[in-house]
Amino acid sequence: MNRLHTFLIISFLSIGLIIGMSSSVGTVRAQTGLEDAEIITGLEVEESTDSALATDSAEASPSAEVVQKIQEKKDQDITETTSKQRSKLFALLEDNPPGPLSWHNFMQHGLRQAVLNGLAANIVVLILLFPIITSIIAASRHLIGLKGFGVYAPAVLSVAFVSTGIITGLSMFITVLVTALISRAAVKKLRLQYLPRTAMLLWGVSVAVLVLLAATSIFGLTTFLTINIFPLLIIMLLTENFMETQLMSSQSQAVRLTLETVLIAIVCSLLISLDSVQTFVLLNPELTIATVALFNVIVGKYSGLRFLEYFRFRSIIER
Amino acid sequence: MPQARDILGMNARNQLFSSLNPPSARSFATSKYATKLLLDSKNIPVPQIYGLLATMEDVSDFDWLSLEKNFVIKPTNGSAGKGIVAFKKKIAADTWIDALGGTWTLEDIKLHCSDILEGQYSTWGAQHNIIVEERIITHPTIAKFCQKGTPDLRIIVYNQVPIMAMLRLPTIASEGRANLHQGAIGVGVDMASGITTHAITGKGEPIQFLPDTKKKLNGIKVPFWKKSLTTAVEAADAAHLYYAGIDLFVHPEKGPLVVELNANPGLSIQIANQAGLRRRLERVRDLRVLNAEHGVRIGRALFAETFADKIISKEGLLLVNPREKIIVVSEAKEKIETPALMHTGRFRSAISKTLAQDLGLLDPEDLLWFQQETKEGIAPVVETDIEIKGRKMTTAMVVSKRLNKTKHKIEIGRRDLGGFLVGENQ
Repeated sequence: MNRLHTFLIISFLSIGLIIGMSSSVGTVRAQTGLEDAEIITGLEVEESTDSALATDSAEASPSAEVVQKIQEKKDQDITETTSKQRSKLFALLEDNPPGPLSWHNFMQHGLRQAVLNGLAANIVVLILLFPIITSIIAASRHLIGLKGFGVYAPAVLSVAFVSTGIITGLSMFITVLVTALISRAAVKKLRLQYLPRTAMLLWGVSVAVLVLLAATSIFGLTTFLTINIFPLLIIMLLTENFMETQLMSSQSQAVRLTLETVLIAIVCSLLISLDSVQTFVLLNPELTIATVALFNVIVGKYSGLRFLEYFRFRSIIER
Repeated sequence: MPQARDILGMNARNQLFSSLNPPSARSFATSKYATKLLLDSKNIPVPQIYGLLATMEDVSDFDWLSLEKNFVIKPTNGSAGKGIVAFKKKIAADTWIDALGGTWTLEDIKLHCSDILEGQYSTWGAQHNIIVEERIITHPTIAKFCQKGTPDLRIIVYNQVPIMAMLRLPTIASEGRANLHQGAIGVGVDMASGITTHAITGKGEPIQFLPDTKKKLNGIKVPFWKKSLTTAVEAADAAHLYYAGIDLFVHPEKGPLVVELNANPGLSIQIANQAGLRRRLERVRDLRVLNAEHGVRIGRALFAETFADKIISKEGLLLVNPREKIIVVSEAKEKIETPALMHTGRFRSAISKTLAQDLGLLDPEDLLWFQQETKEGIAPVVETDIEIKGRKMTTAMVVSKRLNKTKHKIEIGRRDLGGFLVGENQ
């Protein structure tokens, strides 16, 4: 597991490096989400107007309509530092100044200052929401009985879903999982050791994702055009969890845990996409942090039956 | 039927019970080889080990030709039965037949060993070793309920007391493995008598018969029952496991042999027994247990099934007078007739202190535990064999000083009155 993490981190870094080296391509820069959107889109719009006039370069640049769709999606994406969400949340902070500094609003003062100094307000909101997500995941195991793949996988997957949108994320996930299953069956015949085998699996998944991205854009679907590399890698990482469980216990167990993980991730991503939730945590950071800590302690001490255990033991429980 | 609060869930198991096991003990539970060495050194019966092979040199040096029949080759750190081959007999100087009927030459065996050493069947760890050990023949009473693989007996032990037991029968669907979630059948066992009660499939659905047969799964008497319980408690003790699931094979001559210790045993055993573990665990939590035998006596006395409905359906209700002469068996196995009162107002039966002393029941080794008796304070509880109207039973009785003065020397409580109807017999 750890070794695989390292592998993914290294691959992520090298991809970043390659992207950095070829930074002259405006569209790739937009994918990394690190550059200032206005400059890029300005550039793209310029290019596309050019293409509208000069037909010979039309194939090289996206049309104005597509660019607009991409921008709309980006504006809704809270994980994007260049999105409109950021300025919306910034305005929210502007409109709600905290009272004089006191024990109950010291974080509000600190965060406000940081945001004024240039820290992205949407990143602040996401970091405040992250402990809430992990608490929900912990509670869904200990109170409900949904296991999933630990805490980390569903937590990052839910953020990934927020970034990609649930439908896009899910269809990407299904593609990745199906390819992983097919390549696993194919790779099995090669009789490789564990790590090379997993590398081979991710090789297959990467090729499939490339094909999917290219094919959908050729057929005029804009769904996958805005997808970031980071959520994509997270979705690919989940297949590793799936494979590991399949190896350690059984196919049905792996399917079950995957479904549970996706279910938890969907619920969490729906929750953190709510405007009211985002507003609340940004304006009440102290209350959020303290409540979540208390909630974790209560969940951790609960020793009663989990909700799903009532079903498991329903045949012997006296009514 | 238990209440929801009597049932042990995962939260309670992990937080309140498994956590009592020291980390050093848990490491034993994960290594098959370490477990064997430890138990063997404490004279607890385990399947005999013929060899531990770590390199290809070991494999070629090992005296394979001396193995006549019934041996198993298995990886030390495999799971779910991967890489295990069981051999039945030798048919030529260097040819053997495995349990599924396949023929193996010495070369085939060595090739399989090199596969294991290369980690092909290992689930975890970097050391891939091979154990060559005795193949256990299952006691015929149990073996006839099993089409494939070796059935085992899982006993939950806590605070030196056996708490609950289950017979695990591998099926063809479970590919010979005795894990419930892989499809094996679980059969609950009464702690007092070792007779099976209820059965479930791997998915937890209740069944009465062995699938595709007319063999009833209840009413099987598990052989070597008392010895199995004692062995389980001793094994848990040896590994310093305070709460554990002990897996035993039952050999027709050698009796129970410990195969695995589990520091975090599964919870389906509750469905197979239609009883809650949590309540049972809480009942023995504060008991002071002297040794394995004492723990076994406590477990058998506390967690006995009444079988009252079985007796009623077989023999009908027996009418007893409120005052009836019953037979008590003394330490020296003499049957002594004693006046008794059928007292439905109390739960556990009671015996007068002087009578218990006369019968020799107050020896330290008959003592089960102490409990609160109304108006008397703390009173000892002893194991007693009685016979009411020809029905024999072993039960636990409170030793009461109050009964020294009454005409009846024994009061039979509700716990022992199942299957009886108390009333004036004209």
